[in-house]
Amino acid sequence: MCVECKLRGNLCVAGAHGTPCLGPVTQAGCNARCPAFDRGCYGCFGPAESPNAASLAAWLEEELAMEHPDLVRLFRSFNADAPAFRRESRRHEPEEVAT
Amino acid sequence: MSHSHDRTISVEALARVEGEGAMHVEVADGRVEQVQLRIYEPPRFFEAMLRGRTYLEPPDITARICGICPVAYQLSAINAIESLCGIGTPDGMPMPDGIRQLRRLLYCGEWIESHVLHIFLLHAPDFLGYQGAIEMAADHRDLVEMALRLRKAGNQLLEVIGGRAIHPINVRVGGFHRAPTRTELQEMVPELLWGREAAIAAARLVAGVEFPDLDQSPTFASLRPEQDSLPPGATGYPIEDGRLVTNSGLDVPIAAWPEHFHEEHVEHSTALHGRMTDGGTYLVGPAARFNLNADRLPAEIADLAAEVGCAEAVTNPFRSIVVRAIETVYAFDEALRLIDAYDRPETPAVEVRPVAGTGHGATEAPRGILYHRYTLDEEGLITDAVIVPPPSQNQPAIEEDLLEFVQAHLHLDDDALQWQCEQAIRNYDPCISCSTHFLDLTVRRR
Ligand code: SF4
Ligand code: SF4
Repeated sequence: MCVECKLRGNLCVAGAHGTPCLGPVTQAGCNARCPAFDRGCYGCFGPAESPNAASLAAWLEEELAMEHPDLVRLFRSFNADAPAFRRESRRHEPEEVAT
Repeated sequence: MSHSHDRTISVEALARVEGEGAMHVEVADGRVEQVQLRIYEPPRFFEAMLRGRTYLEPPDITARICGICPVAYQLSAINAIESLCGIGTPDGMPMPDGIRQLRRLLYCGEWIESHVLHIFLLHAPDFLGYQGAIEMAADHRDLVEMALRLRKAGNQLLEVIGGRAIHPINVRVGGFHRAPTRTELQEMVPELLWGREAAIAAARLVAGVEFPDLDQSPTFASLRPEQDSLPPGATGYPIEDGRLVTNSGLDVPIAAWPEHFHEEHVEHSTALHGRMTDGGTYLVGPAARFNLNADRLPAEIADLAAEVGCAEAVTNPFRSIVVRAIETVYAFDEALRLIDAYDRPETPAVEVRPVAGTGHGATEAPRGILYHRYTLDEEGLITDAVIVPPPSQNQPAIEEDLLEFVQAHLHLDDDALQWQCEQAIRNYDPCISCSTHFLDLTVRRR
């Protein structure tokens, strides 16, 4: 979806404001609506083709100091069961509940 | 068979209501013994999905409960959370005018879009004698085109302020992600001016159709903003906040909801049924709002209401279509007033820190009071959520009304009776998919 952001001329909310954004791993098509309203994408269009969710999560952890429970919630919303998002949310769950 | 004394009528899938449900009527010895609305759309578990999420997430999540009134869900949730966290409360942090104006303006867009859909596309075909809006469009093309343009005007408010007409993305706890500029709002004025005039014409038009006789005196419940909370220029017809009032004398803050109302499970429906704590039924929605707040309409709209036959309380549910039209005029009028008064907030949102405890919030969804309650822990995670949408509150009162209605129309054969019952149900604009659910008619005449 980042491509749509660039095309629309949005400021990157992740780079500029440190707002977590699922844009890099989300299916394009909404014309980057959320970043245009100064908020991060929450992935409502579902995962893009071959998304690199692990790399995005690592960036969110390192650069924005996002914690595991927040990462779990980020990937576990409207498309919680889409394989790429399911896998990523589980990776950040504490051992006891990660079944 | 259909004219015998004992009969059963079943409507197996109600048309032109949102969601799925059925209606079952039992008649013995020429007396209607029972009317049940059977809601078979499965419960949607939103309340459970909210547990474990943060206090900032309900606006995005609950918006998905309904595609017609997402703003109602977002703002009821926000009211509950903000009141708990001390925002906009008497001793808490005040909410900037600009944010309050934007919220009400956004909500006006939703009232317009939802009321116009119901008046013209779901309800008008009944009065004009068509099976549906598509058949009606063949003879009344201008009417349908006007309705679509009116809806679009409402949707535009949702898009400009909410970022999306269905499930807005710009609404957050504390305010908005981005506040529109005055210019962005002002660009909508010409279309809203057209909309107000068109809605006035529409109100006169729907008032002119023939209404079946029916006179009922239920308990009506609605919100009513406190007089001294009103910003200058506002008349205070209830939309996005208020106290809880009834025509039986109740007047309490929203936090007192659980003491006066509750929901119970009934076997014939997957939706919970709302009742007053004393066991009585009650009605929410446009008629309730209007009857309890007609004095809060601007003079010009009150005059229009009187002209279209709503000078007094509206007690014939068939006339609710006229009330919806009056409220549509009000929503356009109020949107124009709000845009004129708009004071773009310095920051689009105020900071809201979580507070452990339970918060209550309610707003007037197009179909009536929508109540939310959230319990948060110290970290701001939701441990419990309760959502009471308008249709489940109305369901017991609708069943009572229908019982009387069917009794009065028992001379009709099953097909005619079914057609009449469906119309009677559509008066309430039941919208069954909201976590609660709706219609098929079965009548058993024994
Ligand atoms: S705002 Fe989000 S979608 Fe846009 S460029 Fe940045 S990361 Fe990508
Ligand atoms: S959350 Fe949905 S609407 Fe918002 S940017 Fe992402 S895909 Fe688009």
